[in-house]
Amino acid sequence: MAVPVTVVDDSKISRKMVIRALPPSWKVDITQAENGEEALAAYRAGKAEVMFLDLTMPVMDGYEVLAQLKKEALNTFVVVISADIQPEAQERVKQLGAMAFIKKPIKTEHIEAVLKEYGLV
Amino acid sequence: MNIAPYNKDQTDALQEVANIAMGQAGDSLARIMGHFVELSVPRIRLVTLKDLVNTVTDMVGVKEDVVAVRQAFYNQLRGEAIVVIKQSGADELAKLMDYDDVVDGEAEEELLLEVANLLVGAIINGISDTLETELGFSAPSLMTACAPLERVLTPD
Repeated sequence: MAVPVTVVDDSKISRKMVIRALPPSWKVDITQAENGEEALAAYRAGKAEVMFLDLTMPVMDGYEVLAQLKKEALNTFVVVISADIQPEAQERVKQLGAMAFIKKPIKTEHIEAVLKEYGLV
Repeated sequence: MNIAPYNKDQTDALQEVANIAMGQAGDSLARIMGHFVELSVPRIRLVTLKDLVNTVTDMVGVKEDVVAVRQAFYNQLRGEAIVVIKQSGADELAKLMDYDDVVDGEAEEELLLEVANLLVGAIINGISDTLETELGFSAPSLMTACAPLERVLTPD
């Protein structure tokens, strides 16, 4: 069965790059979200077993999404994909419950390595 | 002169390239200063040379005197990068990096050139990474040590 995956980024090209970088063998059902609120809505609709999450976004940013997921004890596998690659940013998202941090520009091998590490592919 | 405006997707793509590049620049800056750097969402404007001064002055929104450093980049993409730092910001930067004892002009100039070089280098590398190309860049040079931004951008 296809895994419900939500890709969250305010930039359309960035969402496209993430989707294109997913391993072709991975059977997924993709939902796109432009901000944190849309991401949480997608999660509540059962569309986000795995979530690729940008940090800097209007309306509701990635940190707030992580905080909300944590607060409600929601269970999804979050991979943060960010251009802000400062060690402190990476540390903060891990503390908020993100499973992995991938730097932009996104590369297939980086996504694949994370998915393999956690036995998702 | 008329310039066709970018469509939504083109603006989005340019903004994302700038975002990735600035992310790397912010990381480099944070590492040398030992402080977290807040990054805003980048803004893209397409302007004629005639409107450049007003647009940039407006976007940067700095009224006080600035220090400006320029650096050229070349290969598949060619252009000029200008790093603008407020005079007070430059002094603060010097302090943060333990240049506070003797802030003589020469030492501060050297520091600013180094910081500009680091920022431009990170930005250019960020752009080359995203576009999967190689860009070269020249050594930085000081455009002005202390002047209003309009003057920096106005050709003599």
